[in-house]
Amino acid sequence: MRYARLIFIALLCLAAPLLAHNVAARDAAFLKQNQGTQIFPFLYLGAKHMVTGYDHLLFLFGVIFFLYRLKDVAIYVTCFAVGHSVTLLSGVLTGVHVNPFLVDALIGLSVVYKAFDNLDGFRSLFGFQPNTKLMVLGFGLVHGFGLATKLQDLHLSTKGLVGNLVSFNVGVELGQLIALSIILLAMTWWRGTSDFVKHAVAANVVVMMLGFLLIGYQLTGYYTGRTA
Amino acid sequence: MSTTPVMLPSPSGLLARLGGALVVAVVILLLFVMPAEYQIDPTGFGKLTGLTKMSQTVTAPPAAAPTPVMNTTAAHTYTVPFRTDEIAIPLGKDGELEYKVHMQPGGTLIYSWKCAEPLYIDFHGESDKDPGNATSYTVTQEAKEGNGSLIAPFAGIHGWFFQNQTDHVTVIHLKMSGFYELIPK
Repeated sequence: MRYARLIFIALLCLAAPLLAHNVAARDAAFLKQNQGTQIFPFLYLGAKHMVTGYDHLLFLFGVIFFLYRLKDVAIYVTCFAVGHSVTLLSGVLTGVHVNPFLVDALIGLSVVYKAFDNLDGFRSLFGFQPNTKLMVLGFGLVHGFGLATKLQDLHLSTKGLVGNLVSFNVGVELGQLIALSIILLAMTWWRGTSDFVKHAVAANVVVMMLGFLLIGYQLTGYYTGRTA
Repeated sequence: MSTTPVMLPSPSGLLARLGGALVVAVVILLLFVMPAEYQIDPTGFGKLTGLTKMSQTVTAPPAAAPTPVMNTTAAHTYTVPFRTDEIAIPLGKDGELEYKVHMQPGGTLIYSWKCAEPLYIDFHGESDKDPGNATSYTVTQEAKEGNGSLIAPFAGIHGWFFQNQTDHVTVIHLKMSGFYELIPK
């Protein structure tokens, strides 16, 4: 039974990279050929991007790891949502283009940060604790730039851009709610077992490792100038 | 975090775990991710395991079985003479346009285009069997001219998505020769 749980978690981890993270080629082709406001397609794309976006999900997983009360989950997730919405909307509307590799590397750093923070690393090693809500908000801004670059890569038509952008953003939040419900369900179940206390530290170390891996993956892309 | 019954590691234990996580990440990066995603193979492990083959660019499906009139892959014969067209495509500021021709599998197209303003280009095709599902051949973020050829991988429409990157009205001058049919617009 205990192994069944570990296998389940391992499978979840393995499945994530198999899902394409960029807006899939077929979807991109659709977007290019369709002009004007397309509320539902963009809503769907936003949700799909979040549900299949393993970097966003890892960060969310880290954020709620030690949050037991639903109220706290709501507060932190709101911080994250406000952060990424601000940069998603303003980034696309003002046409500010940040290098996608660097943004994605910073998103990797946010994953490392959250796991490190979960292990009480700041107090333990540096003797201070950065405000966790502010940090989640700040890294939310970074994640929003990541979302913005994905949309900008599609070279969307200026016709109906605002409507499409808002639809995409709402989709992102819906996708986040879906992903969050699944993560919370799994976490609640896991916390109810004696496994949790035993493996909580190890789980955060693994998340930290995955964050480092994301950083390395994106920085390699940045320095070689190759698209993955 | 004080409500958790979890025993958090001591500073030295934390440092060890931090270092361990970093080392494991670097190892996975060097052994698996770099070969598979970027064809960079610092250890030779990628070549050994075939991981480096994964990232060879899959731009278009390999040219499908040629039509019966073609017997060899190097020399292609066609039953009709090739045609040549010169087309001027106007583009408004921030304008975008698809220009495509219809081709049979194995049909060859050579082309050159020029434009005074920088354009974003997606050269792609859509199979007759699955219209609306585009296969991208090449994507160019910014260019003022393009020269090339295409051997159609499938029966369908093949061509360019052009997007004006500037605020100026402009015209694309496109020259094509080959075995294709214009699509009446």
